Amino acid sequence: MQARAKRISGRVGSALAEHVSRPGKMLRARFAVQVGAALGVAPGKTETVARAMELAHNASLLHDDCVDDASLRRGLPTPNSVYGSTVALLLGDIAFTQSLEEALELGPKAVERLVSAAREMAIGELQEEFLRGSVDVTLESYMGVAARKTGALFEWGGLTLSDLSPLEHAAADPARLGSALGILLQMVDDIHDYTLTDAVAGKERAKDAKIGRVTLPGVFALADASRRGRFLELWAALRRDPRAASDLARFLDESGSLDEARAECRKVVGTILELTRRLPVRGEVDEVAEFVSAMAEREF
Amino acid sequence: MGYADLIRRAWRTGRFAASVRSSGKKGAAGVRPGESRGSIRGEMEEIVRRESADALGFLAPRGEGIMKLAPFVKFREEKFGAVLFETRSEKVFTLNPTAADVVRELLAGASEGEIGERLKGRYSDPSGRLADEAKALVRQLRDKGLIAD
Repeated sequence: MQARAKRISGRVGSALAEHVSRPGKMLRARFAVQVGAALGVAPGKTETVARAMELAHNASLLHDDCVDDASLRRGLPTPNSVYGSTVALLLGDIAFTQSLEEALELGPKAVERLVSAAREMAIGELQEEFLRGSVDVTLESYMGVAARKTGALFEWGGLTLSDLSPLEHAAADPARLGSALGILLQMVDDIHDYTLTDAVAGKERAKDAKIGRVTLPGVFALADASRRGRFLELWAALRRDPRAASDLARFLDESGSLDEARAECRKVVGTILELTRRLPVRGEVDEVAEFVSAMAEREF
Repeated sequence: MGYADLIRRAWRTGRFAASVRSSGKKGAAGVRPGESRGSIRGEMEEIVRRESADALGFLAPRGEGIMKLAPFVKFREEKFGAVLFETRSEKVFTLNPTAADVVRELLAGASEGEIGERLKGRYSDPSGRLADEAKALVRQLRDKGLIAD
């Protein structure tokens, strides 16, 4: 990743180049490296998959922060807040082309599929954007959007690693494993949006609710007749005054909606672990399982 | 007018509008009638409902006797019904609305017998013909390696 940044720093300057490959939690890279090892893929290839995933993810974050007008990311000022949206969008474009360059090293199939994954991510984002303000969100539709928005890139990683694996592994279904992990990540992030403070999350609390996005805890509140009315009252209040976000967060906690969201996360974790146990390199399975559990247990 | 003709005309005249629709007059806010954010949201709610099967496989209960799509198979709802996409061989299987219903039930965790019963009720088919057809479809999908137990 650093080599990637260096390669373009001569063209755009080191300060801007750094944003293209700035590392965050590197969850996608860890997924690629660990699942790749459990599939017996050559380390050099898994690292290429990891870089392609991280760069495509960075591209989506750079664009997302423009869409959301976000000022903080990973606890640092976003490029759009420092240099403006034009610069941030162009940096995102560079990050995506670099991701494609990495995929090209894996062959044309990987590029073709990465293009499809990027399309699904963008469609998921668009769907989410136009569902802002909608309270007609079911668990199924929420999960479907998450599968596209966050799951598609993990699914690409799983599918690409599957192609690279020299071992029999159909039962582990790495593409589905990846997609489920991506969905889980979105679910955990949506819980964090209500539970973590600004300082810990590196972004504003209850931001999704403030911009009119119903997420997993809200889906459960809406689905329950005894909670729906109060949720809608608080939701309407939030449209008038952003300070009502803390009331909404408290209601979701005290009404058990956050707990239901956590239980749903555990169900998805169960599915992922079931697939993980079928990965062919037994010695690596525990580490993948540990990674999945750690991801799910991130203070949610 | 063909695409090549459109390009020639655009070069000659400097007018790049491809059709009446794309050259239609815009309102003050640059939005055509019927294309407001609210109307797109309604359409998006419908699309998202249609595509919710993307994640149904993860929501379905797990256990003995429960079928699911085989690894590398994806289900996508379409206006005409649905398609099953086998991602490794890149084969696409088109499903009519009733066949799509069968796969949707399968994804939701229904057993073979339950699928038949649900279709019987849904399509008012006391003769059970649809249930038999559903069983035959499940058998075909299994033979093609598209579903696994």
